[in-house]
Amino acid sequence: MTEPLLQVRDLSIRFDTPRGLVHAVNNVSFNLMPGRTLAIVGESGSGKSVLSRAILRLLPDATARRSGQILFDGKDLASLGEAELRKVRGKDIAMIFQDPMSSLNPVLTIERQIGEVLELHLGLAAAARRQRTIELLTSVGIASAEQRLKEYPHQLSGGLRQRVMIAMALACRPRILIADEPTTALDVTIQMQILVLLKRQQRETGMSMIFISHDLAAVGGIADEVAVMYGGRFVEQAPTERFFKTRLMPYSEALLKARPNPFAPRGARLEAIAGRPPDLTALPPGCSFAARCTHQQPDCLRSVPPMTALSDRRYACFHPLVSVA
Amino acid sequence: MTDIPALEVSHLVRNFRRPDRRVVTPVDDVSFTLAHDETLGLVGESGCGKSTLARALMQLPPPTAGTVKISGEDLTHQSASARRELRRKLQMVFQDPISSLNPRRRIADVVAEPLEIWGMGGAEQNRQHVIDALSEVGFDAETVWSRRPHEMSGGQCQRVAIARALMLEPKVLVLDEPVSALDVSVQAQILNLLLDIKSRRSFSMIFISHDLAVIRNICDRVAVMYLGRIVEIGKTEDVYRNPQHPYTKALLGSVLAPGQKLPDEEVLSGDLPSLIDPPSGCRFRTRCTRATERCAAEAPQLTAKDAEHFAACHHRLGRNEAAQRPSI
Repeated sequence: MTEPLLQVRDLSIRFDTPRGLVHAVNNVSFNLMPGRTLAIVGESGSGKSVLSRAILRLLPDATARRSGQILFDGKDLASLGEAELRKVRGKDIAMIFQDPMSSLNPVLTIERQIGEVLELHLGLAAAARRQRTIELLTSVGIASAEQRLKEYPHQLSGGLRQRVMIAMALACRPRILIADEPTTALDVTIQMQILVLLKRQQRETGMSMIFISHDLAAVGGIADEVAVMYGGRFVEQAPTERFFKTRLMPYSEALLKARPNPFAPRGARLEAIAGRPPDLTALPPGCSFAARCTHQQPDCLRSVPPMTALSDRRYACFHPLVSVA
Repeated sequence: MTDIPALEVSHLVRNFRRPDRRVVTPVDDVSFTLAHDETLGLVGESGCGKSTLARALMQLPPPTAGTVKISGEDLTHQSASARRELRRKLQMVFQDPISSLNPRRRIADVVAEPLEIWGMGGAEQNRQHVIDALSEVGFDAETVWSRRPHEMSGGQCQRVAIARALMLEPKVLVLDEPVSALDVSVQAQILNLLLDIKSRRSFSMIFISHDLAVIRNICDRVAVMYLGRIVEIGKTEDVYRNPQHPYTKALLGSVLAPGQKLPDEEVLSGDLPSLIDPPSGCRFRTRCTRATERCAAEAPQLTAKDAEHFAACHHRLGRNEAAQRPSI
């Protein structure tokens, strides 16, 4: 049995804000196995982006309170010093973000930006950096990479910028790539190009991926496992194929049904989810989805349903949709 | 039902002169009609000109050439005052619901504003009108009456924008990416709301979206745009089941159905060409696997596959080639 590469144990993140304490991530635990892709799906405010940033400790220490463990290769990232952490960030664990324009430095050339990573983590000299940068750009499908070296981010299209971000993230052959909505700002044809590219890179390097998205369909195409987040908690986690066959937690089912299917004949009304997501400053004592759930029972309002394991899947619901007895 | 369409757009062109004096043409010779009570989807990727087209229809700013007729009356060649009068029949809902509402005004005032501008009705009558409009989009009018936009969620603001757009009972409602900024669960609420309102009232819609799933859910017909031109137009079912243009097929092939695995190869490679120097002939030819010399020499015109399904391609897809991946 292989060991997980990353183990997140009972992680909670709270933010002090003028409106009160925001419970952004609540008691989340999961394992990431080598070479596998875990997708974390949720709507805005579900806590998925905060969770992804918390793994690399990218949240402001002044306002973010953290509890729990983040074990990478046996080391607890949550307790590492800043200097130690810098050796992991961008090297062992790299990250790409939704908006490549604002994540790239607008006043540095592509060569400088990627070169910086190679110098910092690998200590490459100028000529080797240049050579490696061209290789990286070519490997992410950028044609005539040599000419691109002197260009600035604003000279590139959105798809090309995301490719540059990926090249930068892959520069040190990370063991884990965290991708936070990497295709959300892109057109569908470019989205597919980027997903195909990530999958191909994973096949070649054997890295693991955490793929954050609001788009269940895109996630199904790339992930081995799907986790659904709601109100800062994991509410269901299952191997992708099994997830698309059956959902146990009503929110997962509702999320899938709310989206029109582009390949089914035009239906009438969609099954919208009534109401709004919970306020993270005042989470209810029970299941955070109960207020919007059509299967709600009295016990759902009393206490938070615990994560329950069922063979290779987990769910947090007192009244799962499929009988599990 | 009359023979005059709700909206008739002929040879519409919108170009802009850049600071370097070069001219770009984001909308290049676009023609279509919109029947009464019909919903036409405009789909395409960013930069294809769909938003510029919507704004040209609204005369924001007016098109460079071509005509827009609403219920047979030409909007483009009118005096300013006559154009203003006609524009009441054409209303718009924008993508970003929060920034399209004045943050300092109360919700009731936002919705009442069209009536004030047109000096319609008395205070009491207008008040009732606003109450009705707010309840039509699913609000308890009293609860939201004095709120301001920042106190509402994105989905709620979009409901307010829809209520405002419907105040003057337009003939045509133009919606530019109305659900793109919203979460999936809220998207479904807004799409259902539009279907409900449409079943009660009589008006036509132009629904702009980059999202093929949303278009299929709400549109009777769909027009696919690429680099300023319509490349295919027809009934939504026909276009989705049996796309004639290679670009339409690539666009549909780039969307995953829930649970579908990613293919090993992308369906369409490369980026959109620049509008500053668009390809000669067929604008899609630089990314098209079927392109020949003819495609570079001669721009294909929209021709009919059947009475209602048109595509602009010299090498249209046959029935088997067009077949989509099986749905799940």
